[in-house]
Amino acid sequence: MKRTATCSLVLILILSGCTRRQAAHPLPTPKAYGTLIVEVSGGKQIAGVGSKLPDPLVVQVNGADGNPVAGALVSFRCAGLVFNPPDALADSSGQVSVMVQLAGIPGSYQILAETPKSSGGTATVTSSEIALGYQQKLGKELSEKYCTVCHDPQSTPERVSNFDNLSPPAPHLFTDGNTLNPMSDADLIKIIADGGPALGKSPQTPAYRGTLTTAEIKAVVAYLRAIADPPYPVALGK
Amino acid sequence: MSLGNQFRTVARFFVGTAPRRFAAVSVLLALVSAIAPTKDLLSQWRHYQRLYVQLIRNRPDAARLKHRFKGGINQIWIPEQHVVDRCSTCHVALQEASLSDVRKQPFRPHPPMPHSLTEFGCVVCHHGQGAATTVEEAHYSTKAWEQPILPARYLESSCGQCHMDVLEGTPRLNQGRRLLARYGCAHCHAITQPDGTLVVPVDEPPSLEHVAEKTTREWIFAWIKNPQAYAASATMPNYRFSDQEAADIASFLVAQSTPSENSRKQLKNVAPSPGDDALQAGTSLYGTLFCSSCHAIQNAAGNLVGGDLAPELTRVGSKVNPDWLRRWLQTPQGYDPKTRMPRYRYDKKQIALLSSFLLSKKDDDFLANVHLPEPDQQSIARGKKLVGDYGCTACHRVNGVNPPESFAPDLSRIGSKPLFQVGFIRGMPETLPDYIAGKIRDPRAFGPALKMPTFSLTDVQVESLATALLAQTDRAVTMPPELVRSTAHAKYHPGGEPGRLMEDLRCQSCHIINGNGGDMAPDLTSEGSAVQRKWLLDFMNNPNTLRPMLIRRMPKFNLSDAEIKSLSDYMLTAYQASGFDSLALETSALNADAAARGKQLFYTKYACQSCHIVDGKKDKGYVGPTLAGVGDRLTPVWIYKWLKNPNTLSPGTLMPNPNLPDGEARDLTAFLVRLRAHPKGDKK
Amino acid sequence: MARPMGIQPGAALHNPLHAIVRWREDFQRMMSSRVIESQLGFRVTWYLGALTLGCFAIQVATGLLLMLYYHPSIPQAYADMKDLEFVVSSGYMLRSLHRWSAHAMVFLVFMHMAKVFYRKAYKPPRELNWIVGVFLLLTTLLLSYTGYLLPWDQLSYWGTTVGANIISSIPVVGANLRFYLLGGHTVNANALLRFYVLHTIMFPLLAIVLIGVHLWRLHEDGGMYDVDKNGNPIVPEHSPLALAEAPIRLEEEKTLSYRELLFREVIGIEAITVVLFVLGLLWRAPLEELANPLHTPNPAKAPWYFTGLQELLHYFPPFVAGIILPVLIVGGLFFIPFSPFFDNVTTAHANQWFRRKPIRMVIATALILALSVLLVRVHAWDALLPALVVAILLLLGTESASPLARGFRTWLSSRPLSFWVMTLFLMEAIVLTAVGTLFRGPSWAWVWPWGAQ
Repeated sequence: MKRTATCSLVLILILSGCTRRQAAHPLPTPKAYGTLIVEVSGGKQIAGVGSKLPDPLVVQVNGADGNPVAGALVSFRCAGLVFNPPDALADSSGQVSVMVQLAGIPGSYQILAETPKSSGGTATVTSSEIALGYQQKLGKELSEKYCTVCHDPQSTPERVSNFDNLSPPAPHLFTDGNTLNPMSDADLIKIIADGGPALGKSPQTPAYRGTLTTAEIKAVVAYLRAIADPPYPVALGK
Repeated sequence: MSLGNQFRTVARFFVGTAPRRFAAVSVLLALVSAIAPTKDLLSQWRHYQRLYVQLIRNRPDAARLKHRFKGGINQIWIPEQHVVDRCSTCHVALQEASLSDVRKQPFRPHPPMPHSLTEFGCVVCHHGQGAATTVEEAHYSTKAWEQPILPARYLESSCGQCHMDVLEGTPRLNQGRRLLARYGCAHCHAITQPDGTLVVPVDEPPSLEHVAEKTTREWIFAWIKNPQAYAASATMPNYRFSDQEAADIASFLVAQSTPSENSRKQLKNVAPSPGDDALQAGTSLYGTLFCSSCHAIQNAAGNLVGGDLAPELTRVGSKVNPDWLRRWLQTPQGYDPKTRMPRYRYDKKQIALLSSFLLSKKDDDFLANVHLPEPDQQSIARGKKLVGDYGCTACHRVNGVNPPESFAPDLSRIGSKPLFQVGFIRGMPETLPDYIAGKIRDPRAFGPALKMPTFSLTDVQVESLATALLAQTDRAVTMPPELVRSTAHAKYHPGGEPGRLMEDLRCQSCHIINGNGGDMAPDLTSEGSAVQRKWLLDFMNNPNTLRPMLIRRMPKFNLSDAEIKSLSDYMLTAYQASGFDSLALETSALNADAAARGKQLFYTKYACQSCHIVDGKKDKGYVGPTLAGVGDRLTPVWIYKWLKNPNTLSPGTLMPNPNLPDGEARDLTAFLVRLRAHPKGDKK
Repeated sequence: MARPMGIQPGAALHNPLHAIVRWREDFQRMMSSRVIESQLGFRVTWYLGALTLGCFAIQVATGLLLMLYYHPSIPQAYADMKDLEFVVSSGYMLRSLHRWSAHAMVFLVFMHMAKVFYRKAYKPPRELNWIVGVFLLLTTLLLSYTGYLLPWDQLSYWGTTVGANIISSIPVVGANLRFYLLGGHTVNANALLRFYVLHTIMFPLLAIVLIGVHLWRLHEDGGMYDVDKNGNPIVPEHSPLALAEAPIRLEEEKTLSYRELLFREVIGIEAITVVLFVLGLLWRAPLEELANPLHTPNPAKAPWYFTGLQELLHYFPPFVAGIILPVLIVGGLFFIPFSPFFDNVTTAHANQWFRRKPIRMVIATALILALSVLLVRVHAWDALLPALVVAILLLLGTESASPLARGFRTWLSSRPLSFWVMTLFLMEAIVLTAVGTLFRGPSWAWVWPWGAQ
């Protein structure tokens, strides 16, 4: 009698301590399968850490015949990022649109969008998005104020580009990784601070030593490294 | 021996007599009391520190990192600010810049930032519980500490706790503060900054005292129902009135309207000539008069072209009474004495052409389905009550209804609002940033009886507004006052006859003078020291494009010569900068040799032509003002001082400070001073 | 008292070692050395006094260690709590031990008092010890109450505020008393300092003095003892009572030395220390947010030993529930050893008429009816429950003519009035405290403790 009572008491205590496991979100069942997935728009966006990207990332699933496949399941994966929604079925034009919120570490994030193929396996496409930390954001603001009028050939309603008014050599774009990546940080700082002649280049780049502080110049360099394409390789232990 | 007997024998051995029981219990006590110190050795922060030691073992600068690593509990302790932050116990590498490639927390170094870690600690920016040394207590909201870590997207709000000035590195905060002013939040919500200044709304809700002569009841109805259907860029929010309520309000507003000063005046009127020519002429007049500096119109592609200082005119033809429009263009202050629009002194033809152009901007579908019954006394009475209840007079002046007092909660310290005072919606995350953002996005979701309307804001705008509001904390009150960066400045209104003219022309709608005014046009505080008299007179008579980087253009005001002279003399006398006397520069040094050297410097050493045009045939750089006639425009002293350091004369200017030695500056001045304008007009 | 060892006073001046022997004798005297072996066995209600003393010792030890890290100023007090939790090695253990030991001490004091009452260990010559015991009960409660404020979190602040508000409902002097207690009109920095001094110096000193008197009286009154079947105390042969009636027969002592009792008491104290350590490991002492005078938590509960009172406050006005009733209770407790009418155990004062069922029925019915009417009027259903249980028990008691009659009902019928009053009081205390602690939620509305928190 005592033993039964003790056993049942122990059982009750154990069961009361159990917690119900959280039901995971079930994946939607795909209605169709594609063979190829491509990015339509929304790649290579830039936003602050932790923020939502301004435009959604849109991918399209195509079949073997090249036509879009409606009802295909698309999943988005990237550690630390928040997708809304993380898994969805393609609409009638074979597209899936997802709002992306970036993670907390500045740098470039590779988002993997995958869709299962009918023959097994998955088709994938990678989109890269760039998250800017405080230093890079500051660099962005400064470069848009002082630099892009000459370095960006695109004119906007707010700013007419000066790119075509310059005599050769033409300034390179800030996203030009092929030119910028081989240059060291010290070189970049030198050319921003002391102008083109500091590295033997054209004096059309003025010296900003008197206008920007060292921290601000470093912020601009950090921004340039963040948006470089091809990406700037980060070395270990500088 | 049975199992029971065996057990009993063993038990008797250990606890049979009292001394043995004593021994057994003592051993048990010793064991149990050793558990707590053992758990200390296994504490969470020790675990992370061990992981860190492993991490740095294989790095190139392992020896240096190991030498700098301090085990044990690390803290930043600033007693005057009540700061005890133990974050660096787990986040050991906060000041190790060489670990910036590490992606795993808590081993990342802190990114470069304007303040050092030991200046203010961690919690002032990142929130959370600084005194804690476990992840749960430090990062999340617990029974012992309500405030969790601030999400990264709202981090700029922490800068705004002390900084009232505009910082380069806080674009979201700056945008949020601009939006707070632009969307008129401060009309209902008082927001006082730590330095005592109030947030001042910069939108200009029009007075409704004479609204019946401006527009119709149907238009008011359609506007109230959905302002953004009339003008996509309208900042007026949507109150979600029912049709009946909107009709009542429209009836009341029309009923309470009184005649304005304009309506009693005689209008110099010319009937517009019909036909496409008038429309064509009107369109180009609209362009040359630079109305788009302040007003925007949606073009055929759907893009908004123009400024946002004044109402959008895309469908203005469907809104305004033509007679009212003509009177308005002639004398805006006669309808609304507080309007920002200057009195342009248009002549009859200009008014006729402009109004025909503006009246052509209509949308016949806008009011197509609006049919209102005749207003009766009950409808007007209901409308008056609605206008009072919903606080319309917090923004608009209405006859018979006084502006409400303390209509909406004071938001001066909303960033420190304790959560027990917040009513969350069931199911939403219970944090302050989510509450503020959710409230802005959809206020009425928080309760059926709430009156706050819904503003048409994008997600990014909502987050920026939340950032700006989260910056309104108690923190600046507890900080030493010298750490609060204020932008407070005294009010400035020019006086005398020139002052009256400047009021009439509303110069400060666009120009800043002595810290007061709009930021669309250059700061005129030191203009008297900068320009020469003859140029100024010519410019006031006929403003031309001067600065390429300013997209808005100064309109031509049709001023009389006397008015121009009065304004120019006032500016040249009153708006002087210090240090601009004749001793500032030796004009004898500005000789021809110096000019030749200066030309060399201009073209070869500093390549100024990449931004400035001197010779219209060769130079193309179009970033800074054209310098072709600068010798007539600017004073030599100004040119010299500008070249020495532009930032002291125009803080935040785009021109980089070239750090010129005195000799080079003099030579360049000599060169520039000799550049006279062509006698027949300005070069472009 | 004759000295068993025969060392003359003044001998210590000539030989220091004799002083040690004398101290040992005094200590021996303090610990009641006159215990019959059969009484040493462990019983559930035995050693409660020793356990209480053990808890007090733990409190002193942990309290002294906690004092090393604590500053009684605002907001440093709360910051020190954080230091203890996160920085001090095993600091959380110190704090948890102190807290659970405090709760255990209050609980054990009540248990000890109930045991002493039901074992009739307050009979002469032990009335003074009972009085000292009641004072110790009050001191324990006050120690707990003053210590409750020291962490300066929401729990502390509002618990103290509720208690202080009860005091202010005393007529005429209430507001002044509250002012003197708090050193101000609200619970603030003055109150914290005052409570700190009370908690670490004044009340512990008082407690130590009272404990000393309590133990001395225990020795003087004959040590620990038991009762026989009739409820009469078994006085050991060598107690003062017996000695007063018989010559000293020291050489034939059959009692054991104090070591036996000491051993067992130390085992008990160590056992409870182990239990408290385990409790401290499993459940940490709670700490809520920094005290916020602008935010009253809903509900704001007093410490658990006062929630019974708070529950009564829900039904009766503060003057009744907070002042009249506690005064009656404490007065009754003091009064227990004294009235022969109240307590007729000794055969010399047998109250015949009360043992007759009809009279007992009439008195009992009248009292219970009055109490029940009062409780029903204020809708105090939870307080009504023990009253009804006591009523049922009263009516169950059967009078029997035979002196050999045994059985529960007969036993019930021979219980004196003090038994019923104490039982009613204890049952009400348990039920009301349980309800106030577990079954009351926001706005003091009824909640089920296993419901959503």
